[in-house]
Amino acid sequence: MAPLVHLAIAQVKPRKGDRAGNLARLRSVFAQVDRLEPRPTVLCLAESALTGYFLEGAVRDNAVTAGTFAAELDAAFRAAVPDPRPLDVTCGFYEVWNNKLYNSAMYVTLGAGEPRIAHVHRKVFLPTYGLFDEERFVERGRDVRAFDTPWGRAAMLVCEDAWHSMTATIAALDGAQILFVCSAPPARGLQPKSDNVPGPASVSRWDRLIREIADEHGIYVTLANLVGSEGGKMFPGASFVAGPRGDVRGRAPLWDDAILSITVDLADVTRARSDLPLVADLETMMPHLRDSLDAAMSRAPYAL
Amino acid sequence: MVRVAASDERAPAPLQIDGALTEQWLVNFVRDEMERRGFSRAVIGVSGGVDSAVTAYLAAKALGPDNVLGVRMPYRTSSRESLEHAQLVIDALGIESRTFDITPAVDGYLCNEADADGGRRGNVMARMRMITLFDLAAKHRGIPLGTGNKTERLFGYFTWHADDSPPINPLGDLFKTQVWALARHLGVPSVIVDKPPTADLVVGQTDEGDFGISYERADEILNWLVSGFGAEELVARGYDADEVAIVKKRVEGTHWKRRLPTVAMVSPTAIGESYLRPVDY
Repeated sequence: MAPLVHLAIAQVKPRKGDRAGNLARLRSVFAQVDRLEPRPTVLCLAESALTGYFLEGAVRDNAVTAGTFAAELDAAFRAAVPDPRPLDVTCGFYEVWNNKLYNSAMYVTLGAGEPRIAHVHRKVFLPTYGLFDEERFVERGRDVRAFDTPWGRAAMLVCEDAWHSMTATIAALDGAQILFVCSAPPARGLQPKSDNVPGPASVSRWDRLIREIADEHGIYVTLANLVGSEGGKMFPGASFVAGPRGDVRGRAPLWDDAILSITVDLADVTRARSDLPLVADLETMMPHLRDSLDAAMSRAPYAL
Repeated sequence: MVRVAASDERAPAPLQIDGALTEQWLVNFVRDEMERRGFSRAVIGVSGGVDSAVTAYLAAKALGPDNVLGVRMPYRTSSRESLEHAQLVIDALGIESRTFDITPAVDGYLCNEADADGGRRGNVMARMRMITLFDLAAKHRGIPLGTGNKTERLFGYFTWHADDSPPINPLGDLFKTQVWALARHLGVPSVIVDKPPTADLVVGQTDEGDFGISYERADEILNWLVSGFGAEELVARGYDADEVAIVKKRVEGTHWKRRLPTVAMVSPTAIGESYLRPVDY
C-alpha cells in the first residue's frame, strides 16, 4: 500500500547573513514541527533559508559544504528536540563544493545518528537578468536527478529550475513522486487579478507553474518560499502543495511566517497517472524525441 | 463570420493597482525595513501634497501613529493651502507634528547669493528640508522616510541628494497615477488627491506645467518605455510623437540622478563594481 507522507513547509524570515541567529530561529521551528499531529516526515524550507538570498559578493563568506550544513541542521534539531525522532529536511543553502560556489538544496535525515544526506541538487538555471545577478556569484549545477528516501522517490529543484519544464520532466522520468521546489521569489505585480490566488501577479505565476508541473507529470509538488524582505524586495511566502492532478492541497498565507502541514497519499500519483498517462507516453516516445532534440540542437535539416 | 478582437499580448503590466494588496505590501515593507534597521520611529516631511500624505498614511499603519513624526517645513513663499493640507493629514492620522519655518536658514545662506536664480533657490530649500528631516530623525532616534514616486524619479524631477536621500522609500516604484489610486484607497482627503501637483516653490507653478505633459499620459508612456518598447513603436501605436519625445528626453537626460556619484575606478576591488555587498548585509 502506498504510504501517506506527512509534509510540513515552514516559511520563515531569515536575517541577512546571520547564520547563528537563523539557526536559533530554526530551533523553534523544529520544536513546533516536532509537536505537530501527525508528525511530519519531511520539513521543507526555502531557498537560502539560513542566510537570505541576495548576498552578492558575500556568498563566499556564507557558503558552506554540504557536510557542514547537515551538521548545523542536525545540531539545531537535537538542541530543539531533546529526544529526537528522525526528521527529513529539504533546505536551500549556498554551498562550497569542489572549491566552487553553488546555490543548492539538500535533502537530509536528522536525528538518526549522524545526519544522512540523501541528495544535494545544485541549481542549474541561474537567473541573471532584471533584478537577478546569480551567475555572477555562483556556478551552474549540471544535473537533475531523483533520489530514494525511506518513503519513496523524490527530486528537488531551486527556483528558476522549475521554470524550465524539462527539469520537472527529467525528475518525473527518473521516478520522483514528490518534487520539492524551494524558492526565494521577490514579489512583483500590483495589478488587480481575476484569479482566486491571493497576492501579487508573481504569486499567480508561480501558482500556475507549480500546478502545471504537477498536472502534466502526475506528481506532488511542494513550493517552499521565503518571507520577509531584502533591500526593498518583498518575499511573498504563499508556499503551497499541488496534488498530482494540479489541484492545490493547501496554501500558506501571504507575507507572514507560517508552518503549513499537509498529508499526501502517494496512491494519488498512481490514480492520476492511470487517468492521464502522460509520463508513460513520454517514456515510450523518449528515444524518438531525443533524436529530435539532437537534430534541433544541431539545426539538422528536416527531410520530408 | 465571427470577428474576434485580439488582446494586445505585448502590452506592459497595466497601471491599475489592487489598493488593498498595495497597502498591505507597502505597510509590510515599511515595518520590515524599520525593524531590520532597529528603529521604530519614522520622520516624514509632510508637504500637503499627495505623495507625502500617502507615505504618512502607510507609516501610521505600519508603525502606529505614536511612532510617526510629520514635519511641515514652509518657506515664506509656501502657499497657505499647502500648510493646511499638511495639517489635514496630521489631524486625520493623529500623528505627532512639528512645524519648522525654513526661511531663516535658507535666507541665511541666500543673502550671500542674492542673484541666485529660482532653480538654485529651490534646491537650497530642498536641501534645507533634507537637513531638517535628518537632524530631527537623529534627535528622535528615528529614520526619515522618502516620498518620491517613480514618475518623478524617472524624470529626474527632484533635488539630487535631498528629496531622494531618505533611506527608506515606500513609493519609489509607484507611478504618480498609482500613488493617486493608492491615496484614494487609503482615504487621503480628496482635496489633496485632486489638486494639481506642485513643488510650491513658485506661485502658480505645477509639475505638469513644467513637464508639458500630464501625469496620466506621462505614466502610460513611461510604463511602455521602461518595459522595453522604443519610441518609434509607441508612435506607431498611436502615442503623440511630441509627448513621447518629452518623456524620453527627461528620462535619458537624468540617469545620473538615479545613481551614486561617479568614482574613478583604479583597483580590482572598487566598491560597487567588484566589491559588492547588498544594502541590508
